[in-house]
Amino acid sequence: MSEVVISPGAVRMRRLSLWALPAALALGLFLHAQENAWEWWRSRELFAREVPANTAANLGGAEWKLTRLRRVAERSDGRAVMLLDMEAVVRDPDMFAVLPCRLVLEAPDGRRWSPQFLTPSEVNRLPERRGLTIPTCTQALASKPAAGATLRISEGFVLPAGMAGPVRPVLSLPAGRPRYLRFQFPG
Amino acid sequence: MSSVFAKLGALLIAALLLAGMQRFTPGYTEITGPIPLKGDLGETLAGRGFTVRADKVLLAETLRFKAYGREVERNSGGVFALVIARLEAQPTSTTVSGAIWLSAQGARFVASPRFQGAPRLLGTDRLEPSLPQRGVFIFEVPREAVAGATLLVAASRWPRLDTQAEIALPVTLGTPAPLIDLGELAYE
Amino acid sequence: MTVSWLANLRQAVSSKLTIGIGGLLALAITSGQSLLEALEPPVLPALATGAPLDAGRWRIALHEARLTTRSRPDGPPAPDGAQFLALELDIANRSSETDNTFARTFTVDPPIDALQPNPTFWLMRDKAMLSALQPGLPERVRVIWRLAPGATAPERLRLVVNGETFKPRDNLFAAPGWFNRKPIAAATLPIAAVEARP
Repeated sequence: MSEVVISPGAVRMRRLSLWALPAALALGLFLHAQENAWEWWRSRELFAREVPANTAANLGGAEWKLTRLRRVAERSDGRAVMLLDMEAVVRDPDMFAVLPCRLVLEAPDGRRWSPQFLTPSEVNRLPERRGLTIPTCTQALASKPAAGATLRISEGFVLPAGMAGPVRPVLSLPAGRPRYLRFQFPG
Repeated sequence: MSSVFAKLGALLIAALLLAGMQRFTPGYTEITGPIPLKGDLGETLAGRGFTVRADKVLLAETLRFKAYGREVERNSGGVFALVIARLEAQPTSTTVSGAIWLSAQGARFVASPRFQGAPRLLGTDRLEPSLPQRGVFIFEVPREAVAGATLLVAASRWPRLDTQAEIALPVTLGTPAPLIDLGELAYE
Repeated sequence: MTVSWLANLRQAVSSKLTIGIGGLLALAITSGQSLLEALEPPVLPALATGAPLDAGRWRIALHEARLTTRSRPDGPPAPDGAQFLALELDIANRSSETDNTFARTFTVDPPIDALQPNPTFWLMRDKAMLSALQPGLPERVRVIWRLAPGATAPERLRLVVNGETFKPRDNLFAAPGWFNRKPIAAATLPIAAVEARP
């Protein structure tokens, strides 16, 4: 094989390219990770905001207020049926309509109960609910209300009877994350 | 001339190395696959999201149950394998829908879909924390797939970087009962 | 200087040649492949009625096709007088995993306009909808197409059975799976007329 002469400019170019490679890789990684990191940030519940009793708090385009959480029935197997009533005043309809809603009851040790569909007999015999269909949180979001609308929201829960006292409602919305709300009771 | 041989040799070594790596390093699905949690019958296994305990395995040729007010009877070209188990969500409400009977030969049998509406079927209803569900997983397997099987329990059929409980089941299970009524099973 | 100039020229020529030869080779291979595909005999092996065929993931045996007035195996005749085409077959899952992709094992070819798409698959053991097949447990299955209202019933049904091949490691994730679905056999079944009403 014959000796090939390489010009000094080409040598410099090659060296430069070699050094630029790690920089290009790092940049590529960063650009890729940025999207994932943003998605992670928007899907996590990181900052709880404690909402004092009888006050409303802003989250995901609406003012949220806890109306009432009460035990409506106790089943024979030691499970309590809880009913949570909330009120939302819509401020930003577009932001408000982002599904899904995550409304759970949280125990002090971090256990969380998601809402359940309750049998009509357990709920509908309550006098003030007779003849009414109150939407769940996700149903309310999906109904696409106009700005300024006041929505009544109700969710049912089934949990061990002993937990009915210490649980707190926790509300998290896609448009509000990573912030979320934890409601306190009076007294 | 010798430099040509050296180059060819280097190429060959590189090719061998790459082929070896492709053959013997774990694949992407294995690296990002289920995180195993091994245990035995009667042992409570606490995974991410749920706890599981399998108590008993029963075999049957025919199963009878009541679904939507109708008496239903199911038979099989193989045999029904029933695993009585206890599931509980921890720490948040969740569904555990990936129960698999892994035979000693390596075949994966997903819980039978022929029992819709049967009482106390595990894996269908959502689990709640501190409210354990006791019920049954029903699998339909050929007779040769019974001995030395493993029960896999996970949140989904193909868990990715998530817990999969692997419960070793008895090597011998005796002869199947001719008929079991799911309504009369002792779950406790 | 002249030596270096000559060397440069030789290098340039040889690299251009390499690129050219490589390109030509790739072109030759792809056109050869498409030629081979075009040359493949369009006649598929015939599948006899009732004979089992290993089609990769599935083993199937086609039994009979007939017109019926029932939309489901255990139901009464359809109230609106609709007609249905029922195909009786045995299917066994030859893979190592519970599977529900049985609807892709065969296609009606040539397509029959009178048949409405998306037939229902019935597990004859339960007289219920088939939702999945367990490995190693063959089942008798009935496939029922609804006939378009007012359409003339076809006289024969030609089915093309699709085969798949197992790859222990696929090219993307190195995961096992079934690939390369392609027709491997064809069967022509006569369609029996509507059974006499009981």
